[in-house]
This record gives sequence, C-alpha cells and structure tokens, in this order.
Amino acid sequence: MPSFNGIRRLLRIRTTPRSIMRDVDDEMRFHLQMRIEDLMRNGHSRDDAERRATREFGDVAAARTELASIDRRTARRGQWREWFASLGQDVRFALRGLRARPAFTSTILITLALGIGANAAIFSVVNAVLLRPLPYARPDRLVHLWETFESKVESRSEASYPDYLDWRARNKTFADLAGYYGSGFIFGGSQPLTVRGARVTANFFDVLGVHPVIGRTFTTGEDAVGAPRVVLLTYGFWERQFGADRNVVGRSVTLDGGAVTIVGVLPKEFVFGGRGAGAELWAPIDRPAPTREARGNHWLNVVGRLQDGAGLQAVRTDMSGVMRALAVEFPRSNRGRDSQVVPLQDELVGSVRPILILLYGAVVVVLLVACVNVANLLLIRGADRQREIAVRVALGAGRGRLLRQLLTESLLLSVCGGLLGLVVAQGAVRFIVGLVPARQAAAIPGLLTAGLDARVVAYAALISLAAGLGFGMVPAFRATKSALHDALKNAGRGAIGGAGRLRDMLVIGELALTVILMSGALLFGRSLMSLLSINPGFRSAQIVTATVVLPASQYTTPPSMIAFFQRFSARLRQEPGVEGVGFTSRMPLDFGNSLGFRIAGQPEPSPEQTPTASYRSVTPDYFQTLGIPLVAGRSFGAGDDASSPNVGVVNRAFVAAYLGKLDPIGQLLTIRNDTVRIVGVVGDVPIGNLEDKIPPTLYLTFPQNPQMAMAIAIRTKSDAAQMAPIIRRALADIEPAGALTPVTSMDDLLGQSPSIFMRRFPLFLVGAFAITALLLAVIGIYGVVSYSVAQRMREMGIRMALGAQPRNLMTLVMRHGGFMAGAGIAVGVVAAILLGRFADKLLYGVRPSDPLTYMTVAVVLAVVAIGATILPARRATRVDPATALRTD
Amino acid sequence: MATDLDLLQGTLDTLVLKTLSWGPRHGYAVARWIKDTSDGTILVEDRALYVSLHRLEERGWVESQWGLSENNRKAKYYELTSAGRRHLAQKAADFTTYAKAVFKILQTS
Repeated sequence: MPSFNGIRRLLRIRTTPRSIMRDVDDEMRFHLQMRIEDLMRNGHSRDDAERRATREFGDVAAARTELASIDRRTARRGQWREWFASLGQDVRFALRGLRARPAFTSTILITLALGIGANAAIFSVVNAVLLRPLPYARPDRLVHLWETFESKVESRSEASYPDYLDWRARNKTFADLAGYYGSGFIFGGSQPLTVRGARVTANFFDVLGVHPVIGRTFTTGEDAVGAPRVVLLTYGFWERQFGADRNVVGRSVTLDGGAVTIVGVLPKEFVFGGRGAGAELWAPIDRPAPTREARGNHWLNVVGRLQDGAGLQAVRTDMSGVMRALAVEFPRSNRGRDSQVVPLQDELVGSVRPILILLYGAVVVVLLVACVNVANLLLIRGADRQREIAVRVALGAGRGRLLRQLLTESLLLSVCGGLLGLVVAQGAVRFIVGLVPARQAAAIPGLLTAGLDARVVAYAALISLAAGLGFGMVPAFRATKSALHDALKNAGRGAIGGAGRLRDMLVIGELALTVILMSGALLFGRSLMSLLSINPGFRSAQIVTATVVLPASQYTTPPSMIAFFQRFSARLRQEPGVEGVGFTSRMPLDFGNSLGFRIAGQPEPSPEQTPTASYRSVTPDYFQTLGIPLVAGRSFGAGDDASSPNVGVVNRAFVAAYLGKLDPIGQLLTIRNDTVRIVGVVGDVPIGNLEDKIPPTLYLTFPQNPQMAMAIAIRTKSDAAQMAPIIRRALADIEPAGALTPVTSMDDLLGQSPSIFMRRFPLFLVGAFAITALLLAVIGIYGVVSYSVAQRMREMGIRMALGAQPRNLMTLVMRHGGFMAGAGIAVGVVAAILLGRFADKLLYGVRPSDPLTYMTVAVVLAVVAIGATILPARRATRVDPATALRTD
Repeated sequence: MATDLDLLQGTLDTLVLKTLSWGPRHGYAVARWIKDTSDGTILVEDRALYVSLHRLEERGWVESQWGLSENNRKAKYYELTSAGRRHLAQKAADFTTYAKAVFKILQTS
C-alpha cells in the first residue's frame, strides 16, 4: 500500500520542527472540537462541554511538548532510514550500471586489484621490517656500538674485549652493554650438523630484555674462561631437533665435539640480524684468555641499552670521552680510535631500508597510474552518460544527490578492487619474500613474518577509499557540472573542451609516472649488468662448494688435520665427474680475517700504520681449480710442507699497496714470530662484496697453516644436488664426526651475494611495476585518443567533405597523441632525474642522471605511445563523410 | 489517574493497537472506542492515549497520515504497520496467558 511517508519522500517534503508543532496542535484541536461537539449534541452547554473535554484530555500544555518531542525523534529516525534507503538505492543502481558494462567494470577492477594489491604487499613487507618494533623490550632504547679509526665510518670494526670491559665500567649513559659474535657450531656426535649460531656475553639477553619460554638465559660468570659449557636453543631449532620437548632443559648435547648443557629455549618471535643473522644456537663467548686480553684484537660486536633519559647525542659524547681516555692510556692499540653509536633497528635493517622505501615509492606510483587510468575511464564514461545525467537533472535530482550517486559508484569500485587487491597481496607477499635468498632473509629481522595483519588490512582499506574518492571526485564533479550547465543543450554531441583537456592532463601525468618507473628499472638493470660484467677473477661456472668442519676434540694437532684433508682430497678426486679439488679457509666473496705483518727491510711502522692483509690458507691446487691466474713466480707445491720454510703467495693488490716497484718474489714478511717468503703473485679475487675494492690478500699454504674448517672447491660438470651425496659419503667414510655445510654451486653463491641480490631484487620488482605502469599508460593514451576520435567523427567528416586527405586526418590525430607523449616524457624525465639522486647508493657503475637510460626510456615510450594512437588514427581516416554528418 | 498511567502503559499500547486492527482511525475515534467498548471501565486521560499513539509510531508499529474525517475535517489517521500487527498478536497472546494465570491464582480460595 502506498504509504503517506512514501509520498512525502517522493515529493521531497521535509519534516521541520515547525511542521511537527503544527501537526501536534492540529491533532489536539481536532480531538477537542470533536469531543465538544459530541457533548453539546448530548445536551451540554458550550461552556460545560469545553470544560469537560479539557478535563478528560488532561494537561494540554504538557501533552503538546511531550508529543512534539516524540515526533521529533520519529522524524530523525525517519531521515536516517531514508538516507540508508537511498544509499541502498544508489548501490543497487551502481551495481546494475556496472554489471551492464562488464568490460568497463572488469578493466577497472583488475587495474585496481593490481594497484592496491601490489601496494598492500609491499606495505606489509615495509610494515614487518621497518614499522614493527624489534621483538625486544623497549627496542628504541637499544643501540649497536662500533669502534672506528680516526672517526671514519668505513674503518669501523668490532670492539676489542678489554675496550668493551672499559666501556661497561666507565660509561655514564648506558643501563648496560653486552657483546656477541656470529659463530658456526657443529651439533651432535654422530652424523653432526653444521649450525649457525652466535656467542654472547652472559648478560646479552638481559640487555635485550628477552625472556626464555622455558629454562633460563645465561647467568653471570657463564661467559668466563673455563666456565661449564651451556647453550640456549632458538624456538625453531627446539621444534625441529627436539620435537618441542619441554623436558629439554638440563639435557646434555654434543656441541663442537664436547658436552654442553641446554639451559633454555628462546621465544618464538626472537630474531637477531647483523652478525648473529640466522643463528639457531646461542652460547656464551668462549675465547681463550690471551684473545680476551689483547686490546688490539677486535672481535666483539657490542649492543647497549640506554639509561632512561639519555639521548643518542649524550651517549655519543660519553663514548667519545671514554675512547679519548683509553687512547691516552693505551696509545699502542687505541691511538686514533673512536666509537660509533647506531640505533639497533638502523643497524639491523638499515641496509634494506632504502630498497624498501624505493619499492614502496614505486608501488605508490603504480597505484597513482592505476587511479589516473580509472579516472580517465570514468571521465569518458561520464561524458557518455551526459544525456542520462541531464534527464535526471531535468527530473529534479539535485547536484549533491547526483554527486553522491557517482561517488557511490566509484567507491563501490574501489571497495571491490580493494578486496580483490587483498587477495592479490596475500599471494604477492609470499612471492616477494620468497625472492629473498634464505641467508639474506635471516639477516633481515621481521621479513619472514611479513603478511596481512590488521595494520595492512587497514592500510588497504584506507588506500582503497582514498583511491575511490581520488579517481571518482574529479569525474563526478565534472559530470554533474557540465550536466547542470549545458544539460540538454549539448547532450549527445559531447563537449570536448574542458573534459578533453583534463583527460589529456591525466594521460600526460600517467606517462610521466611511467617514465619514472621505467628509468628506475633501467638504472637497476644497468647496475646489475655492470656488476655481472665484473670479472670476478675466478671461474664460478662448474664449481661446487661446501665447508667441512672437523671435531675439535679429535683434531688437536696439525698433522692430524693435514692427514685428514690429504685423504679426503684424494678420495674426492676419485669420484666420477670430479675434475679438480682444492681447499681454502675461505671462498672468494666470503669475508675472512686479516692479519698484520711487517715487510723485512722496511722501517718498523707505527701500530696504526701496520700493513694488514686478508689472509687465506689454501691447498696447492686451489688456484688451478678456481682458475685464479698466476701472474709471477710460482704457486704452492708439494714441497712446501710443515718442515720446509714458510712461503706465501700474494695478490696484485698486495703488490700495488705495499711493494710498489720492488720485485715481489723473494720478499720476506714477518708475521707474529714467523717469517714468510713470497714465492708468487696471483690475480685479484673479490673478498666480501663483489663491488668493493679488492683488498691486499696473502695466501698461505695449508700444510704450514692447517685449519679445522676448510671450504672445498670442486670443479665438476655435475650440479650441486648431484655432488652433495657424493661429498657427504666421502666425508662419512673418512671422518663420521666431521660436519658439512650445505653444498651449493659457486654461481648460486654469486647470485645470492648481497651485491647482486640487492640489485636483482629491486630490479625485478621495479621492472614488474614499470611494465604494469607502461601497460596502463598505453591503455590510457589509447582510450583517450580513441574517445576523442569518436567524439570528433562529425568534425572529421566535415574535414573530409571539404577535401582533407586521410593523411591529414591521421596527422591530426597522431599530433594529439604525440603531444601527450612528448609532454609526459619531458615531465617524467625531469622528475626521474630529480628523484634519481635518492637511489644513488643502490646503483653501481651507472649515474642516476645517465643520459643513455633516459634516452632509451623516452624512445621506448614515444614509440609505444604513438603506436597506441595509430589504431584510432586509422579509424579517423576511414570516416565516411555522409554517415558522419548524418549522425545526431 | 497519573499514578495508574505507568501501570497501564503497556496495556494501553496493546489496546490501542487492537483498536487499530480493524483499519485506520483518528485519535478521537480510538478514544471513543476504548471508552465505549469497556463500558467506561477503562478510564484513560486522552493525553495518555495520544502519547501512546505517538510512541507506537516512533517504534514503527503504526503509521500516521493526514486525511479527512467523516465530517470533512482535517484529521490525523493512524494505521497498523505489519510490524505492529505482529506485535499486537504477540502482546495479545502474552496478555491472555498472564490474565489466565492471575485469574487462576485468584480463584483458589
């Protein structure tokens, strides 16, 4: 039944406070009049009737107020209901409209899902790594400390143990300090595993504020020389190796060949990056007394918790004071030395921050391009709908009502796009995290926990709404404005003027954004190419490697180690497919230790000028196996054994740094109390990062410098997976208690090294974003040009009728596309060069203002953009003047 | 009378709804019907009756609209909504159960 309120709504009659009061009065008056008339009909006098009626009614004034207040409440409720009802109407209407144009709708939804999904995915990584606090108590009060030499950041090193003890004793700004260093462990007696671990001072977990889930952490004195050996398990290791057995505390396990007592299990969320990255076992420091007493021996990473109220600046001043005093007291070891204090979060995730910020910036650009595209589609659609809108205006729809209708549609799109985006993000996060090699991932606290949490969902909701308003607002205003102005006058003929310019601007904007992304991707691509073109100085192809660690308890003498490696080497050589075997204490790209030495015949240098070199202990066939060229002299030979004079081989950088024009062969080096004669010079091989300057390197021969842990380099045509069981079996046959690290190919190690990875990772993602943006931009420019051609059919027809050649018409259309492409490229290149400065540190071998890069991008984009306008341009030339003029 | 109002409110609402169950009526007609049908037993201030009508409207059990009375005057007509009809059925059932129970207790000597 048609209700009165419905009619009221239809006629847009508003209930006002005044009308409510009037209605109440009217109703009461009617009642009283009726009663009075009834009473008078029954023989009462008028006065009497009035009195009786009023008495029966009760307090008229009070009733009036009370009824009015009830009615006001009813009216308010009605308005809300009406608002929701019309919203529902808008939503239904929008849904019907969107469903009627599946191509239009799905284009927009896919665009938004990709834009929002990529955004939410990158944001969830940013959230996990940069925004979520480290899993320690009040992590913002934690710092990492380094020693520096002459305050140069690149000279920073670990602290020496005596310095650390003095820092603890003398500082005035720390609540406490603790130390740690990364360390490999051999876990288990038979079939042992190599396990990454870390060694810490006893108070380490107290300083971090980390409490174990079961058992305890370390107690004072457990890090002393000769203390009973104890170990803490990480949660993951406990689950994997002990099946999460809660009775594990107090159990004795074999670690590095000796018995160690498990004292506790660390919480699940505990992670540590830096030098403790990926550590699964945590034990107290175990360096012998002489190492702990040497002030010139730097091996301890130090973390500190600031006192309440102490700022970073106060701590730096405090530490400088302490270091100055130490320099005076111990000039031999400490002259020129200072300290560096870095917030712990910066230290642990600082290196990935620029990459994440860059990726986040890139993904925001993609979203902007997506929004611009959607806005353009809506603008075009809005122009098509002018007649519909005009009709609605004529029927009395207000501008506000129309705006709401159009915004409802765009918000509906963005909400659906956002929901799809979350689905995209869910998969994308896993994918992005999966791109990071396990070793790198372990060094980035929080990365592996990246996922869709409440914050990410809230973020996705926020950007969806912002996007919906952003891309919906302009077309909606535009549509309703023109509707009000030239409503029926112009409808159907399409006004190109203002809306056309706006569409052009949007396309120029998205082209510019695309230029930025493409330039970024290209710069990373060129960095990666420069890096890959670095001749590493050795052949990485067909090299398989792993590290063997011998149990310390059984291999106590040099001859035992030498004997093992000789047998092991001989055994491996017999295996099928093995073409060469060499051993080294550290593979290329691995950091290692340095040692100080003195060159015989040169004056004794001051302590801080003591020449140092990275050193490696290698077997004679190592150079040949890895293809490291011999430049001068000879390599190590079988005759260089423990009983013969010490010999060494140096690299070219060593000669350049320390020997100048001297003939390197025959030079004598004094290392501690030994003398080493240089017998040969080999080519440079990177130590640590691929792009770093190669340091002077000294190779010593294994028989004269035996070690318990050696990396095997095997040259073979088999891959790592095929070689792994062979190597494992060979080791088990000769030394069952020996442990082996995972077998990998040298090519994989190279590809996963931070130098390569830190470029390949952003290159991959920025490249993917750039391609997405390019695709969207092409769709954008194509859409706008096609639309304007469709709108100008009549004009084209007239031109044609007046004698214009198809070529002229094509030029006309192409000029439009060319103008947009040119303007977009120009704006984009300028913006990219300005932004490029921020990415400088991430690049290698290419400057952020590299002209070739921008030229390439400009040409590619110009070609693609013009290509996108050819199709509509050809359509313009096929206009039949008669038909074009007849339309409308 | 005022003291009895609270006691009566729920009951009054039900009576009003019942009055409207045969079709739209204005307030005066509702008042007359209640008085006449109860043979004057139920004495209610008209004010209370109107408060009841307006509350019922606020709750969405009745709807009102202006119309013309039998003697061609502008009068506000009230009509049950379907929610109101359901509510009435519920209330009537409740009340009958309640009344039966009270009656049963009073019957036991």
